[in-house]
Amino acid sequence: MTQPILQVSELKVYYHTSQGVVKAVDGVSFSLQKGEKFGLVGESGSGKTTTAMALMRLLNPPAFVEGGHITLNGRNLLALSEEETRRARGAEISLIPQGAMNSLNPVMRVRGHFHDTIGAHRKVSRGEDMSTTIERLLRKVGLPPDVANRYPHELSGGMKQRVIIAMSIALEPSVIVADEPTSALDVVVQMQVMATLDQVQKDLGAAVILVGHDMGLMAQFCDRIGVMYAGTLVEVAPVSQLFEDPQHPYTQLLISSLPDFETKGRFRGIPGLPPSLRALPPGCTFHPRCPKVLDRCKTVVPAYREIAPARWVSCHLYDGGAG
Amino acid sequence: MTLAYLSRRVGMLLLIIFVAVTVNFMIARLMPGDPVENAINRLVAAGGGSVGNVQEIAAAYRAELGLDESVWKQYLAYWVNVFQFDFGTSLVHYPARVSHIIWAALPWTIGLLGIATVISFSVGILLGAALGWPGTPKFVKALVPVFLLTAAVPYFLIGMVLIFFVVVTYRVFPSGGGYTFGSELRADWPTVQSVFMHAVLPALSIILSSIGSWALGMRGMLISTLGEDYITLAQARGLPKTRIFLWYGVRNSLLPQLTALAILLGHAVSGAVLVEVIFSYPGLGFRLFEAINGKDFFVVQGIVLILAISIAVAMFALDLLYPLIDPRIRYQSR
Amino acid sequence: MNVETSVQPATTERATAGAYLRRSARFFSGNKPLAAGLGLLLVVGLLALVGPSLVNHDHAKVGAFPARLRPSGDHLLGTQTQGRDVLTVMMLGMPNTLKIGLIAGGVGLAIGVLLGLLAGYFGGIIDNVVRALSDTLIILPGVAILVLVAVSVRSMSVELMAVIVASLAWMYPTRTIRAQVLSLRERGYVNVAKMNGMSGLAIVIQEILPNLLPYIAASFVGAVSGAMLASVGLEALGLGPQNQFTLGMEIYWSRFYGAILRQMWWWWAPPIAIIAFIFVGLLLTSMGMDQIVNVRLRKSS
Repeated sequence: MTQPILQVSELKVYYHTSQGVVKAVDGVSFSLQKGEKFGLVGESGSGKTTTAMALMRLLNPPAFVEGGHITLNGRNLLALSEEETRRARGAEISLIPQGAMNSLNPVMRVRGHFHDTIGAHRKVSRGEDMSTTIERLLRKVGLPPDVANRYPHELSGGMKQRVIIAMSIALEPSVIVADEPTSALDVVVQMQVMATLDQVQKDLGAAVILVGHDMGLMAQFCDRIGVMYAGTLVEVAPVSQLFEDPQHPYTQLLISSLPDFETKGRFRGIPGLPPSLRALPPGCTFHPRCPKVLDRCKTVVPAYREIAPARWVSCHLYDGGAG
Repeated sequence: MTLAYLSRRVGMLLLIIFVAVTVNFMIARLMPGDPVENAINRLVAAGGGSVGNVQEIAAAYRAELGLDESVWKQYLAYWVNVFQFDFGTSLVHYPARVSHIIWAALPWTIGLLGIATVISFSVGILLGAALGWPGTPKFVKALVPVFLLTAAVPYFLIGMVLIFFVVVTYRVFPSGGGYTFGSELRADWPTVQSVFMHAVLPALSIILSSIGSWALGMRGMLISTLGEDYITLAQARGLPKTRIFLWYGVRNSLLPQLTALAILLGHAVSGAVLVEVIFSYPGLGFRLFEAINGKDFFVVQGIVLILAISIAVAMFALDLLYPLIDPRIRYQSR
Repeated sequence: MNVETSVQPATTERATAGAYLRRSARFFSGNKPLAAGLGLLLVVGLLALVGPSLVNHDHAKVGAFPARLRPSGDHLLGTQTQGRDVLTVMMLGMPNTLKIGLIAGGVGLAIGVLLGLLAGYFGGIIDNVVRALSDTLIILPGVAILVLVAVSVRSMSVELMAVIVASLAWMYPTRTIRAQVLSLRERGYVNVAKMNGMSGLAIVIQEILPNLLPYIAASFVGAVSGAMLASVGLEALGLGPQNQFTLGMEIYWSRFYGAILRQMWWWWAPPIAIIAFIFVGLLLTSMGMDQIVNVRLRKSS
């Protein structure tokens, strides 16, 4: 296997609030190959967005990285200086955020946004060159060139998100973090935007981390999926294997709760409620809701292990009698 | 700027002028009795004015106001007079025209209030931006409670405190008036100097008391702007801090401040009226105060109307400026 | 298709007195402006309630004492030009000043809530008229208009003053309430109520009004603050009640008798200090309320 382009190991992000420490991300590890599409799914509060923001180093107090490494193109992101981080953002790792509606500066034309993005990293050539670059990028996401001269409020939600996608590839980064990029859009536009993202990603060959909770969307877009629960990755597997043969009881419940054509209309859901991140249960955080709970689940934290090639699970069911 | 936006603003201007003129007309006539009789009775009761001429003045007034005509005709006549900038005659300084008194006082008020507002708005905005900037040193942020105090206290009270400390205790600036008492206004250096020295304290009390609220308003707006999604994305795009702060943060926080400026103009004028009184500054506010004390009803009426109309016009000007700053306004009506 | 199906359990806290105190302590420590503002206002309010019964009203009469005495053990704040004891005058003036502010703010708020509800809920012509009226009057120089009214009145009293000031204290509440009603009207439960055949009035009273309470509270603070500012301004111009004590009239009299130039700081400074105190309290309170209202705004959007 080749050297991964992005490697996250034992990442821990805690929120230090007046009412205690919230372990939003508690020891997450995964890696990304060049051009790979990786999905990060989980309920809200499972730490998927926090993980994405940690990758961008855009965590705001009271959230702090408590431990772990993020290695991008061989450099530890967490050790970079403020200025080095700024240079890496947009150029090496770019973000497509959740709030497409509100992510562009309302008093600035689309052209200005491209100018700012590119100008922040390169010496900007004035006039012609810049215009052709912007035109090319807009065309790539399926927008007419005159969009460059419009203000954000003159664009629809889908168009804004396309502009943002075009900006995210402007500097040809090696990793694109897409944090629920279609959450505010209606279904038809969602599909179009995802198709655009897919196309752009193919052209560029960048790795994508798609954060979301829509399993259907994930299945269509991603190569591999990581399932998060209460701040930890419980299972990582290639898409087809994850859907056909989920290992972790949480993933199993998640997959079986999805409506399909046979059991149409029957939505089962998962019994119980996700734990409060302030007071996580001891042992495996999922044990209070787990149908296959063992005694040791209540006291011992399961290890995150590769149980088969490319299949990682953290669950005592697969300890293989070793524990 | 679209026609719809423009016509809406013009309509607003006309409406304000209409309401101001009508209210002015009505208040004088809603009082029981004949407005002239009332005005003169009040004047006599206050022991002011040229009492001997009461009947002569009353007769002149009745003729001028057409009080024997129907209310509608009076109302129409009032409008005609307003258009001709004719607000009648002073009772105290009979036969001085009210319009003359207003013309003499207007430049003082516009000068004082205009300069003070421009200074307090721009400095306040800058200070507010500095207070909202994450990199600003802690000791600057200690200004916040100071601003809180000055923002809360009415203009003229700060004026009184200023008079006490600066004039009575230290005798640096003159305590009142617009220029050296008894001198003539000429376009020479000593006059300019004297006008300046006399304006410092009143201007300072307006600036001191309004700068805090501008700074606090800007700070609040900036802090909430810095939490917007487009700030996060700008960071994610790797833009330099100062660029994000100025062009994404400050730029967007400025717009609501300008709206606030338009809305608060009336408030500022009310405050300036009192500041002029405290400093005996020869602007409209002080003339208004004199007229109130002298029961010079028609002067009061004229000045109130002029204040209202000036504000409406200033606001109209701001409204025309606004679309140049906020692209969104060009296409929507507020 | 969503994973996000479960809801965070609501934290249930036992409704004991201790829990209540802890909760309010946590609430106020999270909202320091509100705690500080309400604290200041409480002090002033208590002083205004208790003050008049602590002082001898005769000490506020003309010639009760020698004129222009400096502060001393007998007269903590000295006496003024007419021989009144300044401390006594302050104690008697404070309730009146607060009374004007509260009555005017209350009346202004009532008008504002009524107009705001009508305009926001029924829309159409009513809305246009209300909006044009409040937008117009809000930018007129309040003090100037009030001056005109006050000049026309024969004799001024505390109550009349309050009513006059109230006539221009309703615009801000109207605007705030109207905007909130407009957004509430579009919420699901209002539509449900409509579909269930509830009448317009019933919807306004049962569904919309309770949701407006925080905004009404915030508007009240704003209205009182505006009314106090206007009334103190009018009084400083000499247009207040001539025969009753108020803080603003004391400022007028102290100026009238040249207290500043005579360096009688003990006459002019106390009313200014108390007024400043009240206004700081009001400002902090309204800032604190803004915090609460804005959190609601953010959560509901």
